[in-house]
Amino acid sequence: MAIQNNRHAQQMIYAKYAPKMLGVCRQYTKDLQLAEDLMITAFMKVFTHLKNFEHKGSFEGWVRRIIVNECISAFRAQKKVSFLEDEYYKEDGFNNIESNLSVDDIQFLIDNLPEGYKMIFNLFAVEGYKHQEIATMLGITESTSKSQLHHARKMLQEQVLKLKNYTNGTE
Amino acid sequence: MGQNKMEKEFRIKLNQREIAPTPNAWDRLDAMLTIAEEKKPKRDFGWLYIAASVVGFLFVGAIYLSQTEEIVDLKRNEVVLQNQKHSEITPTATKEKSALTQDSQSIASVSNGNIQTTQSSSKIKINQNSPIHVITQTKKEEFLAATQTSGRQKAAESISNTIINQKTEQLTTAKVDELLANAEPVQNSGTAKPSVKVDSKSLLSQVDGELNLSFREKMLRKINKNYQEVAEAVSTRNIEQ
Repeated sequence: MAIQNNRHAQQMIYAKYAPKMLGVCRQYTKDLQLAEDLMITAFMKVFTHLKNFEHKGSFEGWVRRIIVNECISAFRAQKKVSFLEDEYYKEDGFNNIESNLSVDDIQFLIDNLPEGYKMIFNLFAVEGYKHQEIATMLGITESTSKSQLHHARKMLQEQVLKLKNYTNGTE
Repeated sequence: MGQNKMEKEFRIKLNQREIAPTPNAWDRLDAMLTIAEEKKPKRDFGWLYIAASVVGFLFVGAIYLSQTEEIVDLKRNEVVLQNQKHSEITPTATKEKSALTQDSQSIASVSNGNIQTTQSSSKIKINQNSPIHVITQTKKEEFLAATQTSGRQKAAESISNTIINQKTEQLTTAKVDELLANAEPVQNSGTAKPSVKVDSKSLLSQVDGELNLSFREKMLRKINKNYQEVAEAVSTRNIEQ
């Protein structure tokens, strides 16, 4: 029915997936209004290309990919994201610690990352893309993606430790 | 470079997070969808214009083809009319030919008996050859045929009279002179006043038709003309002998 532009069916789909998808958009930008704009634009693409959904995976996964691609293309079009061609990265250099932070605190830490770090961290750690896929999506080399992730992890770990110490009252 | 515990924790918590969009978000999306749906029919109109133009071209092509067919039909009709004209002309031509052959035969038959009559006939044929170059060859032939028939009929009558006189009387040179004197005025009177009326329209139509003569018809006319010249030469040779 939604394929046939039934507005009620489309509204039901929107109501079901919009809150989660707005959360995805929020990962990429601090501006909630901008995140909502990105989400609406992505939902437009969802409804106009609904007939192309091949029912191979979950519908939510398909919508999520459209949302992520919309966020990436929007930021790349605005040239807000720059990736340093740094090939320095270290395998398994981080302590396997749990932050036990709330989702708002996690989002706060991610928001403080540089745009390039933030995007690659979101794609790799949250969305589960591989470095090769990220390199193809962003038009960068695989090693650049790895080095950007390395720097993002390092910054986040430092921030988590600082936040833990702050909440524990040691700082 | 796999995910560590912290990243897994981030992933789970962020994927479970939900942020409620503003109430007017759906209205904005609804408006955008409506605009997109309104744009779609324009594409259909585009195809409609293309289809209409194709139909228009086909219509114009059909009209053009129908016109060409009419032209072809007209040509066919013209051909049929020409054939009809030729068929109308040919009987008259054959009649003329038959009249000429009859004349030549009678002249040939008479020439053996009487030299003077053949001379008169040769004079007639000289008149035949008298050029009327202003008109076309066919027109000339028809005109000559008309004059010949009247003159020859009278000549034939005089010749027949002479044949009868031959049988009844012995020819003398004096009588021959008399016969010549009698025959010549008859010829002059025949040529001077042609009794046959010439229809100018029919002649013009025939001339127009003959302008478009085929190669075969031209050749037949030439052969006929040559045959007549040969026949004339043979007849004159017989006279000389």
